[in-house]
Amino acid sequence: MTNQTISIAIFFVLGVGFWMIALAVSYLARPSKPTKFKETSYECGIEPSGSAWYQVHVRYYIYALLFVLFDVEVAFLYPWAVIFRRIDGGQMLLFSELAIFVLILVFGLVYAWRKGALEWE
Amino acid sequence: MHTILHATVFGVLALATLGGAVKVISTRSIIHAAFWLFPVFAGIAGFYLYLDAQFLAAMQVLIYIGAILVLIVFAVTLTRNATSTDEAQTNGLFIPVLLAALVLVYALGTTVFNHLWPIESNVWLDAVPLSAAVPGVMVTDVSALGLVLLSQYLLPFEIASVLLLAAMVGAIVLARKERTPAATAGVAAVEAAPADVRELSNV
Amino acid sequence: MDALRNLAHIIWYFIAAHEVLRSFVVAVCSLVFMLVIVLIAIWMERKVSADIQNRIGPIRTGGLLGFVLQSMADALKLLLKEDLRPAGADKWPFVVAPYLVFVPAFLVYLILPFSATWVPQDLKIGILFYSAVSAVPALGIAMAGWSSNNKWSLLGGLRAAAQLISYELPLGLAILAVVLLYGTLEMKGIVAAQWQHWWMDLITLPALLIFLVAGMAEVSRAPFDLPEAESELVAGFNTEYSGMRFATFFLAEFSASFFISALAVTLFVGGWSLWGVDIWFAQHVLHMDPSTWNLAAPASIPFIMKAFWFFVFLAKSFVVLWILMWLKWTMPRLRIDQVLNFGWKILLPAALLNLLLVSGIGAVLPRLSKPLTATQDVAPIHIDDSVGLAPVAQTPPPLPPLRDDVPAPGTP
Repeated sequence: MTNQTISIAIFFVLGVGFWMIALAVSYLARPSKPTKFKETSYECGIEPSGSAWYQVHVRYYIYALLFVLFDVEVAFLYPWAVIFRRIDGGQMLLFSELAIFVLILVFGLVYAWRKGALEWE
Repeated sequence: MHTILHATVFGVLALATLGGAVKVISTRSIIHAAFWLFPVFAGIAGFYLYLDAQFLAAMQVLIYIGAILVLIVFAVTLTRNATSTDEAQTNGLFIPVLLAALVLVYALGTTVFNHLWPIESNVWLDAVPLSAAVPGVMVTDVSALGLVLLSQYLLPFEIASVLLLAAMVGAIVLARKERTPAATAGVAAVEAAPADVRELSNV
Repeated sequence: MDALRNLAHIIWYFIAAHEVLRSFVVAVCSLVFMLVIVLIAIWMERKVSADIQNRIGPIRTGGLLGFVLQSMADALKLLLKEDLRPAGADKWPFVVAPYLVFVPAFLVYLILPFSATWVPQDLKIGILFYSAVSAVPALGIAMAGWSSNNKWSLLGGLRAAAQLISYELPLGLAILAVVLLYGTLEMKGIVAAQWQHWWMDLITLPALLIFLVAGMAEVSRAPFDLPEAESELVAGFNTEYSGMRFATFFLAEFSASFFISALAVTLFVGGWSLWGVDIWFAQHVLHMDPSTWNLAAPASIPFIMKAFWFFVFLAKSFVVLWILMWLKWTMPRLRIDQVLNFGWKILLPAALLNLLLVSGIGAVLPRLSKPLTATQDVAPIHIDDSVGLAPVAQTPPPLPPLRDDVPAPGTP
């Protein structure tokens, strides 16, 4: 473990701990008189009909799927971007290596677009 | 003294990872199974940080928690009974899965025990940077990763993009039906349905 | 007894290690900073919105001290409110979700360079830490929306998650343009490079625009506030939250708004620096000698300059925050399909194009002076010549690392 790791850990613990304490203080200070009507979920004032846990449309899933793939692409780009201006010479080669990588994925984006996967409907 | 501290950190991370994993397979509601993946992924990111592999840790959070876990949650909301706890827990594939798991354990085990790790056991407990243990073998630096990725491992790097493309095309083909007359008829049927049914199916 | 001694050892280890104590103090300071900023931002939001709508805004609490007392009153009210949970809610995800939103909002302050040498922790992965940590709230919001067992919450949560992940891509690509130009992920290095070469900010102007638009969507501010579109979804994913749990989301949103402004300033507008004017001022008005300043040795820079830079940073950040508020209160809300279309069909291709453009410019610009292996304490990696990359020098020349350079007075 280095100092940097310990810093991250301290920030994390402090963030969680502080908010736990804030909630605990609130727990001691606030009133708590739940009634049946306070505990119903809000549906514009009328009694809720049925559970809210229904099947949702597939379109959210498609966006998430495309996001995973592009996220991995962006992850690959970070090491490339860091060294791009740090090495001596070979920039055109580095540039073309990346251009091929990006173009293949742009092809995928165009495919998704043409197939209507980016349409909300 | 250090050993206790390191053992505590390791124990907490291992508990989060393995405990979460056990809950993933034992909880009965699949949306909870998806949520329990969070401590698993976060614990693994914690291990990477603990080993001073910051780039890997960031990637673990960025991709596994930020992307794949969200994808899994969306996938679960597609199912009919995401919160139902009376679905069957097993699907009769116990033997094949056990075999597959054993093969995986064997493969990982042979790698772990046969690979010549560049550090003596317990060296890391005293917070020696991995890179200092054996010079020139391990570098936990993003620029070093970029260098090898774009020279030595250029071909795998480019193949990765083809792999991503294949995954994208496959996903679109599977998840998205072409607008055939039959599909359009299905939409028309939905639109002709009573309003409350339509509302639920068009969320 | 043995366990007790071990415990004492562990505590002693923490206190004795100077660095650990420093980290803790810095973490507490960052937390206080975040809370104060949120108090100010809330008051500012009320005043700016009132101004735009031709009202006066809150005046009953505090008068001139309103920016402290009004927000304090708001916070106190939330603290004392009853905390309700719908009977049908999924208990544990409902309780955990606010943490997944709040903790990342606080964690990101770890890498923010407040002034030349005032960075809570200048991580090796720097800006990538922000990209990673800010990806978590999407899950927290989806979890909050799902577990509330409310139709509005579920819709809001799913929309929010879809929007957040869609705009993360252009945001990341805009950040990549900066990383590429300055060749480092470390925040100190990125600002120092802009301090040295102010004109490089001009190259990243298109990236700044992309960053701001994507950033507004990331913090769900109008015109991208449809996760909590009041007129359609009641309050979106936080409909069923009340009291302090609601405050979590509220606080995280305001903190994130400030942070995205501060990050835009840090990455694209020179951060704490004044593009060399500060050097001129220090030299000719304050009669200091900037040539002795060294960012790697904090003691070499006078405290007054660091404090000055801190205020420059705050001023710039609040100007950007004010622009975001101005946009928020003058724009109508978009529809979800418009938001996603814009993100995927316009902003993402634009960000990719911008990255290619910046890398083209970066290929023409002179190399960065810092040799690749200068900071590594190991033998350099051998690069296969046949691939075409120039081999890294076996013994790097003793050039000073870029980010520690101090511009000589009078040179751009």
